[in-house]
Amino acid sequence: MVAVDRHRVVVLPMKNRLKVLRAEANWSQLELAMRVGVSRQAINAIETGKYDPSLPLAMKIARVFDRRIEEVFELEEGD
Amino acid sequence: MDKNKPAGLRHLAYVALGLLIWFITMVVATRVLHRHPPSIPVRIALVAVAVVGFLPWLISVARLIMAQDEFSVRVHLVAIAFTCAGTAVLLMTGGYLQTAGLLGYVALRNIWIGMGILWWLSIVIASWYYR
Repeated sequence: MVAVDRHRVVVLPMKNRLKVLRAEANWSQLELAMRVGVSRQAINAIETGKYDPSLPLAMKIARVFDRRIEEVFELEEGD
Repeated sequence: MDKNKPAGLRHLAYVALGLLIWFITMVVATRVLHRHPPSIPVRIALVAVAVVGFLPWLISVARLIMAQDEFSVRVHLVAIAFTCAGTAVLLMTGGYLQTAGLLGYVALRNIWIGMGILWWLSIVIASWYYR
């Protein structure tokens, strides 16, 4: 995620509760991937923080957990 | 994801068809061009046949990539960026080596063979990075 001020570009890292929510729902990465309509690798990359999903995908993920998007994804503290 | 399977197979079929068209046009154009036809319009037409015959494969691969989920598209875009940068470095290196007299004539077709190898390597590296 990138925020732009007048003089510089600042990268704002995101964290997510995907792994916790998935464990609570007792879903495998593949099962969640199939529910959301992406590959298992995509879910793994999001969980490990290597990939930040687009807003539509983030909303879709929040929806399958029946949560608000900010309950699943948030900016790292201190940013 | 299941509903995307038929679309995925269709895209793969387009890639296979594109590959076939590319192969046929490449063989025909190369064979005739190696006979050095005297007519310039014929030579231009053969080059056009070879280049246009390559486009269906290129387009089908692009459509196959764009049909995947956003994460897979990201991996491919990163790989393509690596490939372009790597090709630029290779071309620059080759150019300087030729200027230095350390590298002889290199056929232009070797550039896209190198680019293909770089592309494959980039996909492997990008997939490994995001794993």
